[in-house]
Amino acid sequence: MTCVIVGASSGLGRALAEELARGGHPLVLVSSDARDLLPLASDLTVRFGAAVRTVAADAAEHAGLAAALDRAVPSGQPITALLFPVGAVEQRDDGWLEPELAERLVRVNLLSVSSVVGRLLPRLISQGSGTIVGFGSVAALRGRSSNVLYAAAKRSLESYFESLRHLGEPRGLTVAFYVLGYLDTQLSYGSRLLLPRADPKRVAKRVCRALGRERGRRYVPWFWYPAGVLLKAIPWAVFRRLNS
Amino acid sequence: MSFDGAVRRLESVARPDRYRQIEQLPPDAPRTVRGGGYSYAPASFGARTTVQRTRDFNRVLSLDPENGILECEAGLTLGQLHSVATPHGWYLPAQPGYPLITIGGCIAAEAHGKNHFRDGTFRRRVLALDLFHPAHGILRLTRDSHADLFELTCGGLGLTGQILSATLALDRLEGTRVEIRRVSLGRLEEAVPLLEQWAPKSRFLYTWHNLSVSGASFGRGFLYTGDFRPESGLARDGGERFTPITAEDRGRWRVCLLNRATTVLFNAAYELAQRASSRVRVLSLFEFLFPVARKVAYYELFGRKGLHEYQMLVPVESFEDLAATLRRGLMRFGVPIALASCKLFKGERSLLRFDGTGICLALDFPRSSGSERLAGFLDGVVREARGLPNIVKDSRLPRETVEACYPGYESFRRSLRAFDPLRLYRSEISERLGL
Ligand SMILES: Cc1cc2nc3c(=O)[nH]c(=O)nc-3n(C[C@H](O)[C@H](O)[C@H](O)COP(=O)(O)OP(=O)(O)OC[C@H]3O[C@@H](n4cnc5c(N)ncnc54)[C@H](O)[C@@H]3O)c2cc1C
Ligand SMILES: NC(=O)c1ccc[n+]([C@@H]2O[C@H](COP(=O)([O-])OP(=O)(O)OC[C@H]3O[C@@H](n4cnc5c(N)ncnc54)[C@H](OP(=O)(O)O)[C@@H]3O)[C@@H](O)[C@H]2O)c1
Repeated sequence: MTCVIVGASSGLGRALAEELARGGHPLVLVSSDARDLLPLASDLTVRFGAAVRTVAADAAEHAGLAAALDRAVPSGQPITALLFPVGAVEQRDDGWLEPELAERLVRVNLLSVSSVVGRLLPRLISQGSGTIVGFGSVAALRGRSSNVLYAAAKRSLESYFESLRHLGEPRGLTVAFYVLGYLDTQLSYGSRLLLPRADPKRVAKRVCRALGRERGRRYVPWFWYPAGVLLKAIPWAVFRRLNS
Repeated sequence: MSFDGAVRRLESVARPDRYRQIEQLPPDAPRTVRGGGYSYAPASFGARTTVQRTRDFNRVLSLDPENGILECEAGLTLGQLHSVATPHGWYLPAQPGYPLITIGGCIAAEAHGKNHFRDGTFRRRVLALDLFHPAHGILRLTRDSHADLFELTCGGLGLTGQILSATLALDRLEGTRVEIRRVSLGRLEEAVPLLEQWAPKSRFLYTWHNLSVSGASFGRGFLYTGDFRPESGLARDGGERFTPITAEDRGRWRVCLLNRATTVLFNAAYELAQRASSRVRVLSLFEFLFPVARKVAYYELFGRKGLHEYQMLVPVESFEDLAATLRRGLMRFGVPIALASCKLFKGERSLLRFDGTGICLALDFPRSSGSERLAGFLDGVVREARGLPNIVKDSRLPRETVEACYPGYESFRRSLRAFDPLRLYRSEISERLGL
């Protein structure tokens, strides 16, 4: 029954938490600051009667996070889903980022996911069921001059989820990876964008409706699929001019 | 953009959604807290500061279903609170008429409902507040601890700091339907005796007046008295769907459809429709508490230029003279009064709160060349009547009128400066009123 959400305190993660609480799932919510997690947990408990545990941990310390989560998810309880709407960007991520910050981006956006999955995978496999959901970004469709390492980490994540499908599906697991367009959240707030931002609540509804049934890579909102195909088809000589 | 369409400014707006982001601004940076943005006047922007929205801080922190005590973050909207509390048999009396107004906005503007004579203003519901101010950190305010700051913050126009959360005392719900009875009244002056007469028998009470008719029946209209329908139980509310309107899109129609001719027509049509309909109507509590939710077209009629809502609270003794002054004086401005409505108030005056005892009269009229002069004339009328103008409803209210009408002006200003010598929290209102 339990769903684990890493990156639950805001944006899409918060919307997913609300949607799953409404659906009656016990939740384990993770983000870096208890001040944000506790009000959210109370809210979901009051409004939906949900059983909510919280884990406040820095995702950059991914091994510690994985261990903390392993302890927080009660061992007798089946895990229905692991969802990873965690993500962080860095303003100066333009290719010249200091090594410490660069490493941090990779830890938060990639290694936090692989470490937690690695730690909980044995439990999922022994259950013989469970869903793992990752979130990529259209920012990683092509290389860019901003969010350089963020995009690199997200593309790695996509590759990781494809591998995870190989690993998980024969053992009864469902693995889904959503390539997300721009969302109306803090992560993209204030930036100028060509295509509209999606409401994280709608994206969360969309993801939860298909939870456990949908597998593989999906684009959300849907129009990013054709947009992505187009974007990838643009030859380098043209693309470099667009991306100035 | 202010809801009345009068003030439009380009400002940097932050939309924090984690607590550390509220604290991220440099501690000496001036700022403005913005709730739903439903103040008619620029109460939550307009001072060239960083505007911080509270919309993502809208979580319910606890609900005691036995005693009706609810703790929530200040960005929770009245509609959200309604949907959490009613299933447990509780509701919040003393709330303004639009569901997207926030708890923080109600506290800061000391809002009232259609039941002031019974339930007073919003402050009466507030048991405790958590207030953030960069120079003071997070303070828990109650009537016992930091009592002065509690008083200053309730009705403090967001100038003492950011309210993070509030503990509210709800009232028991005696039904989810409200029965409204209509009583005719022949002229504006009759509002007073009728309101007084119905007050002991009503839970909610207000009037509607047609100010487009001249002569003896100027201000004829209706009194509406409402109470819970006891047998209705916790039936489905049904009215919670509505299309939201914001201050920014209220004025999406370029032109104002309310001129003298159409106003006469609209008012007459409303009167006729009322007379033709049954004297008793039953509404869901949601529809009753938030009548505007599904009637936002009314505000759109005022078009891009917008409207004035002049709301005043005058002593009962002054009302007769006031009505006579309006009857004689209004015509000369050539400004159509789209809406006129009275409520009965029983409270005490203090600081800058729109509270006290008397008749609360609200007048809506379109913004036009003559409207500023009319509003100026009304300033004089309120002063003459020893009344109070509502500060959050008027984008032009001059400082001298506020100083003259509110005996608590100086004491509010002094206490605020003592608490916050740098005056970090600002708005167009605070600048205009010299606070
Ligand atoms: C359709 C409509 C109907 C209305 N009906 C009524 C009515 O019946 N009775 C009535 O009294 N009023 C009524 N009002 C006015 C409204 O209740 C007040 O203006 C209220 O303050 C709006 O709250 P808001 O959340 O939109 O806040 P805003 O308009 O954004 O802000 C209002 C004030 O509150 C402050 N504020 C907001 N949140 C916080 C916070 N967390 N901490 C500190 N300060 C904060 C702001 O700084 C500002 O000074 C109505 C308004 C509209 C548009
Ligand atoms: N917004 C967009 O336009 C967009 C577009 C495409 C893809 N995406 C992806 O969609 C997902 C959701 O994004 P969002 O817009 O909802 O972002 P968001 O609002 O910024 O939420 C990100 C979540 O991750 C958590 N997080 C970040 N760094 C963390 C750390 N070091 N330790 C622990 N938790 C951390 C955050 O919690 P704390 O900060 O409180 O710790 C927060 O809960 C992300 O994977 C993002 O990359 C977003």
